Amino acid sequence: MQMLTKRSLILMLVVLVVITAAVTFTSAQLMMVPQAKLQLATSYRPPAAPTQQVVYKLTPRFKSQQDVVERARTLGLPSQALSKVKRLPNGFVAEGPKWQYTVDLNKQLESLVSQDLIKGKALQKPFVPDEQLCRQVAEGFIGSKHLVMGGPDEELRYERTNEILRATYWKADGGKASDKPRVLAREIVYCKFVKGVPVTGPGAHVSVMVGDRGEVLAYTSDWMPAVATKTTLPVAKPDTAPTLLRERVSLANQQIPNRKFAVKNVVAKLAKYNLRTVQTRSGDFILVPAFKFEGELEAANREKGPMVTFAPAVSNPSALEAVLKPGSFTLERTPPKVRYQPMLKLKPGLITPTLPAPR
Amino acid sequence: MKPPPQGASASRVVLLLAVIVGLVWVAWAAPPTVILKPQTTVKPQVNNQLQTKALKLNLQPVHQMQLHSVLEGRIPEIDWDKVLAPDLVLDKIECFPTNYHLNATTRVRITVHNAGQRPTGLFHLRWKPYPGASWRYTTVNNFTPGMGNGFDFNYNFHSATPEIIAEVDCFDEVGEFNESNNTKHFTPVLAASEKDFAVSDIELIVHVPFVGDVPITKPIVNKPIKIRYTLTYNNHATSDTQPATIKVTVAGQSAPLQSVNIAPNTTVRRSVTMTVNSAGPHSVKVEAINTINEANTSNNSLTRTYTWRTQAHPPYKFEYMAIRHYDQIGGGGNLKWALNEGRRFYWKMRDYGHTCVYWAEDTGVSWRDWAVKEQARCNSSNIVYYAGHGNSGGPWYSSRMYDGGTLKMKISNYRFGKNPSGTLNLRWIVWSACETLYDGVQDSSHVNWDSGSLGLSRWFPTFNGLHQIIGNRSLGWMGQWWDWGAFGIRDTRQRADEFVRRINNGEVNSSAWFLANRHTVWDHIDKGFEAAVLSAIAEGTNYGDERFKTPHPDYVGTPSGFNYEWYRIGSPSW
Repeated sequence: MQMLTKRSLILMLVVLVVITAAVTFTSAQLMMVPQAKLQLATSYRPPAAPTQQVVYKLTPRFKSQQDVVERARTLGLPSQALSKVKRLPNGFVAEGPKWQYTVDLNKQLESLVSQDLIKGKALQKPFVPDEQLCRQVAEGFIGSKHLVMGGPDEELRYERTNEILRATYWKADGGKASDKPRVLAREIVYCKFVKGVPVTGPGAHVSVMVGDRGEVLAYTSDWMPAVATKTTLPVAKPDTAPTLLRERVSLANQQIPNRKFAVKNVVAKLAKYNLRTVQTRSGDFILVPAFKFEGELEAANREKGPMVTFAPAVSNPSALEAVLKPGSFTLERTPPKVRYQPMLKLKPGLITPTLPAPR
Repeated sequence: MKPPPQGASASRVVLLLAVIVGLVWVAWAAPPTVILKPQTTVKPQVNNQLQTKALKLNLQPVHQMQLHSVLEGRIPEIDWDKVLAPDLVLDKIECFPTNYHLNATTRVRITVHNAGQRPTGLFHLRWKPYPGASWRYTTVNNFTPGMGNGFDFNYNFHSATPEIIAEVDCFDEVGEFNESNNTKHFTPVLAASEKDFAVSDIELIVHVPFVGDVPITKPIVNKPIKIRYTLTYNNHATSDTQPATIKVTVAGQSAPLQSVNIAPNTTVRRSVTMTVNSAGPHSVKVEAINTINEANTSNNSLTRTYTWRTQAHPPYKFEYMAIRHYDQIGGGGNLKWALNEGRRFYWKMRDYGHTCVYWAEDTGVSWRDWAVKEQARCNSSNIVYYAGHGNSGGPWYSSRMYDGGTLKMKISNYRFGKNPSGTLNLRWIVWSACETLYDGVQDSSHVNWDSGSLGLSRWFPTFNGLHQIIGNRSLGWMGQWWDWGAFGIRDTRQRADEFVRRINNGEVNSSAWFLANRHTVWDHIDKGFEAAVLSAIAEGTNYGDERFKTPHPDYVGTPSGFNYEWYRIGSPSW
């Protein structure tokens, strides 16, 4: 009886161990982050990157209401509007007869929008010049007022053109004559380049929206001048870019509760070296090296989609972590205001380009 | 001389009486005798016309008047020369144009013909434009029997009281059968433009503070509206003031009568304020109900039809639905910021004084939010905001789109606008979700309205009073799930925040949506997207330029067209 009991206990123990092992294994499988398979397309080339990258600090332009008022004055808002600047949750707004000027202090995003646009008048009968003329108007607008000022390492380059379009469907004609969209406005977008390297993220873009007969409808910018610091970061070697991408996708998969939507396959078609804005723990914006990847993704449920993602291109992750800590880097020198120079200088004839007559 | 015997005298009296009686009897009982002297000369072809002429001369058939003639002792005779004589008749006087203008050439036409049986020979015609004017003469050589002609004369009337008098054979050169039809009088009619009272215009007016009276074309139900009408009185001829009593009728209701006196060649504006309490087309009629002394009375009333509509106004009722945890409702990638976006919409709308009537998050959502037809919950509010996944069929609720095994959330089950009792509530839908307004086209070359299941016309039947669907043409942006943890500022709460702030600031809804999206993803446009708005066009109103704060009046019928606007930012993906 005693032996039987002993055997039974042993048997029960074995069964218990087996069950525990099975549960543990299953749980581990469930918890395990699915690994994505990475493929490099034939077009893929390793990004050209330096070995060391100076960390740039972006200088916020708007800290107080006074900064906003001064800027609004530069942009041409009348003094009456400046005296009625209203507080927003994240910034300020000033309403003038022609313009509405808004500043988001968190994003350092300033937005000058024509009252005609926001009241719906600007897009009624638009004759928008072609893209080339719109670019001339945009650069004339920025250049005439020296709206974008920066340091010697920076420059402003054309990046893309966005468009607002409209098509109208009339039931009477079955929509046959009305499927051609009409451009209502073109937004010319400019991007910050630091020593020839494009910058993505906050602090790097300026845009001018051009509407009917070349009228400027909006000016938007979160431009922050970049100041070089003494801190440098070791840039990851270009041939490690695929590994960094895989880690990036793996990190994303960890945060997807539903395994159906986890990334299963990645096809990298393009990798470029960029500077990317990140926010330090103390809220400062700095530029750090990053690889920008473009390609395709396939999820576990076989859904496919385009991919544009960034990975910090730092060979030593702890070095990046170090600069994100408050007070972890020091400015090289305090930039005097006169140091800034216009990023776009006014060219003759840009303000009033010769536009074709409205059709 | 012997006296006659008594018996002989009586016999003579009796004989005399007998003779008299006999004569009377013979005269009475004898058969009628035709005694018309020229009987043998009457031509057999004497026709009815001649008989008619004879009757006009009071000639009667002999057998009817013989006794009378005998008794009268006269025998009538017909003057056949007269019966067969020519007869000039002045038929009519006309003016061209029919209504003459002062001091402008008017053609006067006098029409004459010969109704007699013989030629007229030479005769004269004369006329004058006013009774006091001198005669104007015309010589006519000859009119054969039955011949006629219109004689034209040009004349400039310089007074408003002309009276044309014309006479043919004015010198009595023609021995006519009837001399009494040679003269006519005619009063020309002054052109309406010379003397004319008219209700010339009707306008609907609202008074806008600090602006003044503004004419409108879309009156609003239950709002008093001023009906302004214009009366004109043209009279270049006289200086009389025109009195008029005006009756204004709107939707079958009449305003109190108004009396107006209008001086010549002036315009008078009067107005009356009325209220219409039912939506739909109603006629506005302004009429002068007293007799107007003028040429043209057809313009003494004017009717115009306007469509009265309801109009939404703040504060509004709103709802929001947001889904973050798709894994709790049947699967789908979770959306980190969706609840925050919906809640930010809620709080911002509350800040502006609007009232939330319903909201649902994650497991709280149901197909009843959008389906079925008028029964859908969304039709209880004026604006509904949704943050979550979407596709070309609208919001994507994973398993919550089904009732058991039946798909409820599908376009054929959507009717946005009126609730089951027919009250129009829902004007605006905001779908902060992917591809809800995707048309199958991935560039700006054209718009697919009708082709295949992705044609935008799929949404047309859902507009049951709805003004706009605000959404995305491409994949929207709410923080791509493979970017989680990436650096950057990506809080799409700011989209709802800025959108609500802008629309409550009186900005155009589409611009507010575009700018809110643009600024939200300002530093993250590498992927790009297309914010889009589909707006109804109905009854002359383009809801594409509508403002949330001061919306257009609602349409009554169905949209006649649609506007599709989108903001292509960067390189969108699908």
